[in-house]
Amino acid sequence: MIEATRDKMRENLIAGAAVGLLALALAFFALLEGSRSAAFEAAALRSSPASVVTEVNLPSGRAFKVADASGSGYGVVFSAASEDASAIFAAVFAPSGELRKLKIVGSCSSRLPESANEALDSIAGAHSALEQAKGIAMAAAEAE
Amino acid sequence: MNENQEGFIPNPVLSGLVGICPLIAASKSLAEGIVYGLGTAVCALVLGAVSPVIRAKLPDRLRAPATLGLSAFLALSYGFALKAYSPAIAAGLWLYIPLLAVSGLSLSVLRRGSAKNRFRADGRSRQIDVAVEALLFLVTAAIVGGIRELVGLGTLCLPTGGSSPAVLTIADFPPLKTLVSPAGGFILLGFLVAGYRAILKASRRRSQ
Repeated sequence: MIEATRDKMRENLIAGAAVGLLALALAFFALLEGSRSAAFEAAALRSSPASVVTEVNLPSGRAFKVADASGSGYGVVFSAASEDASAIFAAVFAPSGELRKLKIVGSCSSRLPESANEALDSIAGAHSALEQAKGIAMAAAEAE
Repeated sequence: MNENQEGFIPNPVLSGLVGICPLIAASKSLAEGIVYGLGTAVCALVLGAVSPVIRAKLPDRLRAPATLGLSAFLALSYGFALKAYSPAIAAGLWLYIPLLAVSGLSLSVLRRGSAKNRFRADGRSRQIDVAVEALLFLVTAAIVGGIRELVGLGTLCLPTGGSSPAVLTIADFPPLKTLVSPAGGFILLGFLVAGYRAILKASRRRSQ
């Protein structure tokens, strides 16, 4: 009886330790990935061209406060994919939500139009991704 | 079919139709096919290597959660690494990278790993079977993605790193765009399965 209880305790200990180790490793990976993708997005917005001022983290996503010739705004990097193309866009919005700049910063198709607005039209679901990005930018403006 | 012949390992996709739905949804280009196939192969290889250890060290009731936890960990790690390597390919593969955790090949490897005997009747290690199957899955995913992109769009996207992978333009117009859609992918897979079976039948006739 005591032996059986000990075995069960040992099993629970092994399971707890394994799950804990996996969770720790994943949290470490996620932390590295978070800082890496923030650096990638900041670099993408700097090339738009806009200078990145601060990072604004929200539950809905990540935005960057950016400054350019037309004043300060909020930059969001988002991706969209369809059957024949995938692309990563950098968008800069005014605090009111008006789209100021849009640029393709990465793509996986040669059939994508060079103009960012035309590329947006050619990828199904890209417009809703842009709307989501706008929502994140406006939320960032409100949070500031 | 030749599956019962000694030493024969069937193609998991073209013979067993393992994991074909995510394969067709994810492998729309050569780069995506290679990256998806590589992820599936890596997950299956690691799970195939670890499952005998899990079977030996862990009690029955902990095996399933431990292997699924490890599978999810592998899929997420591969996803993070892919995002760092090529964000555009990662965006194209979208949900199908986390879904590697429950890919058909991994589950079939786990089912086989739960067998008591680590060796087949002919004395060969089951690990070798897993390695060959993983390689066949990778090659098939690359072929499916490559043909779909080449015939569907007239381009070949290479799995190079950076924000935009290298794309070779073979034709100035998309020759048969339907092939890039999921329906076109399944039609192509049907032809590949038929071709694979015809080759097997021919080789069996020759060996008789």
